[in-house]
Amino acid sequence: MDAEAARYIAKGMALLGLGASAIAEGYLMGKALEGMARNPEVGGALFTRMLIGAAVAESTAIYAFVGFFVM
Amino acid sequence: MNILQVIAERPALQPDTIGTIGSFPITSSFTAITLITTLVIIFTIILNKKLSLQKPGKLQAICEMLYEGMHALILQLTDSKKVTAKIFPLTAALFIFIGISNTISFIPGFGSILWDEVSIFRTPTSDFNTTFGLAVSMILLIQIQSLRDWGFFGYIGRFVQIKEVIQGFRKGIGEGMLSIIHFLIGLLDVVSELAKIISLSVRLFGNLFAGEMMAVLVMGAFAYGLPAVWSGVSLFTGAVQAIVFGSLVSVYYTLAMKET
Repeated sequence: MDAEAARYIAKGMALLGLGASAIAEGYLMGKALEGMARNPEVGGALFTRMLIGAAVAESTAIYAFVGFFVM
Repeated sequence: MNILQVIAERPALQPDTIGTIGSFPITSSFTAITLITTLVIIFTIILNKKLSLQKPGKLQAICEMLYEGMHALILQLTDSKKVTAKIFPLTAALFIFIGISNTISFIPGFGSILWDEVSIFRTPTSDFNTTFGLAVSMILLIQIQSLRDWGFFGYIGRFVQIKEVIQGFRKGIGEGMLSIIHFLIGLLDVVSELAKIISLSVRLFGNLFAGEMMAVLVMGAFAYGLPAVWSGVSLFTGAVQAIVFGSLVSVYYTLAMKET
């Protein structure tokens, strides 16, 4: 296998991280919505925390994305 | 001729060097940072002159709203008024600086001002040097504060938990074995402190860099309407990332303090 082919395979594999991050974000959003539906008074506080959590969970995908471009 | 697609230049990882003072290179992100800080300082001076208790203007009302929002968020995260009073000026400055840095490139013509065919300004946070410097200084500050709060031996004892091992073996062999595992985990905390620097800096840099790269790719796919949607998403992520950076710094600070 020449180096260029290996690079493309590595790029594709790096993007697998996006799927995992999507699962995490979906779980996080679902749980937050569940909490908000049960207890609407804390909705505001939950929402900001959910956004922060989503951004942190998303960062894994961002690492993969940066790796994709830098490779 | 292709009118549906615009092929733009991909953003570079390295900032452009405009010139040098001595051996110190002046890069485009450096000028942008200087511009942002001077603008903020001028704005603050003007606002300071206009502040009044009797007749608050619109500008003052907006700034007070922002201030209260940031204060409430940090109070919620740190859960202690003392820590909030200590950390608030720093995190608020981070919110403002990173928030403006992330969104300033949406001002039309920001990246188009040229000097010797090199653009003077670029988004400072899409340059890894900026975010890495920010993250390193924040973590160093947190560690120094933690050292002052815990004292020298207390600070070292958080990472090298010899005292807990001795106490565990006094209680019995089982407890002692468990405490050895805790000792090893404590050593790993050194790694986690270093990982915080990497994760903080790469998160901010990656979001901005990936946003710029995606903007170019979207322009290359379909240049009408779609880039506007992507710009909206970028504005949103820019604001969220500013909040995330500041909040994470305040959370790390709270975790490094004694009272929690």
